Amino acid sequence: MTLRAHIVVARGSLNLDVWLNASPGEVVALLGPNGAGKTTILRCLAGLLAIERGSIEVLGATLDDPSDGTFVPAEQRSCGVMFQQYLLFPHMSVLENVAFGLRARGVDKSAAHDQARAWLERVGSKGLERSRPGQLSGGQAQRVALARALAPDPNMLLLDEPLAALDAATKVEVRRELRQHLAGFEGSAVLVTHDPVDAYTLADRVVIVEQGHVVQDGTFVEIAAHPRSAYVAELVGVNLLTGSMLGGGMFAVDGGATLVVAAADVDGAAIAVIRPQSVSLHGTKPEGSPRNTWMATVIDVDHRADRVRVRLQGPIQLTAEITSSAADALRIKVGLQLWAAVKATEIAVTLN
Amino acid sequence: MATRAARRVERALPWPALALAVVAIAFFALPLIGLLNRAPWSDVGTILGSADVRQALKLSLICSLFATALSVVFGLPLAWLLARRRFVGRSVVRALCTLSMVLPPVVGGVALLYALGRRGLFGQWLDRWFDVRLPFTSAGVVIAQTFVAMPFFVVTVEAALRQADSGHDDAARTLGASSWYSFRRVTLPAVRSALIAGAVLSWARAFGEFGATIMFAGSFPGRTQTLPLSVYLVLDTDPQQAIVIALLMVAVSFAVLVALRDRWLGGGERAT
Repeated sequence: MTLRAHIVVARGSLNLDVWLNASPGEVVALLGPNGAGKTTILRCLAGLLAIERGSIEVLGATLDDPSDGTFVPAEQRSCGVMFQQYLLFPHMSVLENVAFGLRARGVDKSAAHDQARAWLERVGSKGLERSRPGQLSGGQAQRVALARALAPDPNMLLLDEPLAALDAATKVEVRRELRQHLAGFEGSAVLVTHDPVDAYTLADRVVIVEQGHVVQDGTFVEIAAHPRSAYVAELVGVNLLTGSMLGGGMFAVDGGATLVVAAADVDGAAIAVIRPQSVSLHGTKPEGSPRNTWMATVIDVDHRADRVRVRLQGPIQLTAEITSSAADALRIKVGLQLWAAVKATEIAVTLN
Repeated sequence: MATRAARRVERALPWPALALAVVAIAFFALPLIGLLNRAPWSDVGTILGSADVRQALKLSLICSLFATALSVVFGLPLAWLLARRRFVGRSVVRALCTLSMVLPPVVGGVALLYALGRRGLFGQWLDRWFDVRLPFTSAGVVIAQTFVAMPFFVVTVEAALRQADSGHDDAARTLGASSWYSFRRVTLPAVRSALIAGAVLSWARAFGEFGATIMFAGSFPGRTQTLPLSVYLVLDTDPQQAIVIALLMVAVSFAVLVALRDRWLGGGERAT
């Protein structure tokens, strides 16, 4: 286990108490609403904030343990951080920014600059060496911030909302690059986000944090299938289908089926997002406007208050959420065969 | 788009405000005009060339530069402490360290004399143990000037340090920078223009210092008699010379303020 942490700290009205583990090479997403304590967790891991109880251990070395007074300050940890607003040093060139971590650790200037140049090339920012951070676009600044965090070869990488500051078009491209860099990173990475699509596409494991506590921990698919609370269901209980846009408003789901979607002008690898409430269930083949209908088998039924979440198997695997009365009328039970339908306009497509 | 932005018209100031602003400008311009009007232009060369004026100018420049250096060396850590560290009584310490900005300088000079004078509370030990006597020496001039000038540096730099994003310091730390390395390479460059502005302001205050100097250091030609003191002393005996020295000070200070303004604007443009 690369990272083993139990973080207990109070910040204003927030009482944080979370357990967090990560294996080498694993990417863990901390997913939760604003104010849940996600950024505070990162600051504790980075050594910018001391914990009050618990312990933080990375690669077998204790970094923070109030019980015996151990505290390794941020500058002595090997922890690359990408801050939400990137926090590039405005008075330095891009090259000096990326070389900063090496220079601070005593690498001589020309060697540090050589390595920084190599990093800029790896993140696709060759040619920006002499620019100032103020001259960069959002995507460029994100890449430079990533290069700066990775250049000192940290054993842990912390990313605070790495894509939140980007516009939609840039986000898709940068997310794809970020996934490659995370895959190539050998230490463990912790990523803070409030966007389920980011968690789904970037992380191996998702930890849901709500009001300072971990409410669920698992792969995205596991959590989406069995959300432990209505809140988690709302946050991650969406159906995310990977596939590609074929043009003409056709989305090919990985595995064979196709869906008609209301996004005609996009092309290439994409993710279709379908809210469970948008999936309707019928005893007989539905007539009328829904463009997507298919036969499915019920494999799991989850009753919660006045709603029922129905997990379906078929050409397209997804979860539907219907009212209890509708479930009663359909006599929903595991093994039942029925028709599922989704309107094209209820399917949001985001490029992957 | 570009033409639209360029054509945006500045809102005109309401005319009463404009009139008051013009009065304010006149208020500052008139004394200068009065001085220029009475200046003995034919004798300016000889007066400026005279030994005692050159001596006072030299003393003023040297002492004020020393005072500026002391203000920077001690004021920078003080400003950093006040801006970035929380401690009990911080607002009291801040008030204490900037008190001399609002205190009449004569009062400051008297206080210095009772603290560091030969019979003063601490001055007697300086005298007895180290054989150091500050009052009525050039070093005393520097002390008096530093006392009134340093707060200008501290206040300017502290405000800039507060505004500078401490997040950048966090970023530097996660990249392995010691607090000294981060201060030198991240924090100081971020407040560079405030450092320059603060140093120039405190220099200007030291250069024009009169009250604390005359109380603490007296007025000995060549030793403690700076330009402001000599203006005051020759006003009765040789008003012509007083006007020329006054104009000399106006010229030096005005040149520095104009240069400072450019520096400020220039720094601002570079930062974006």
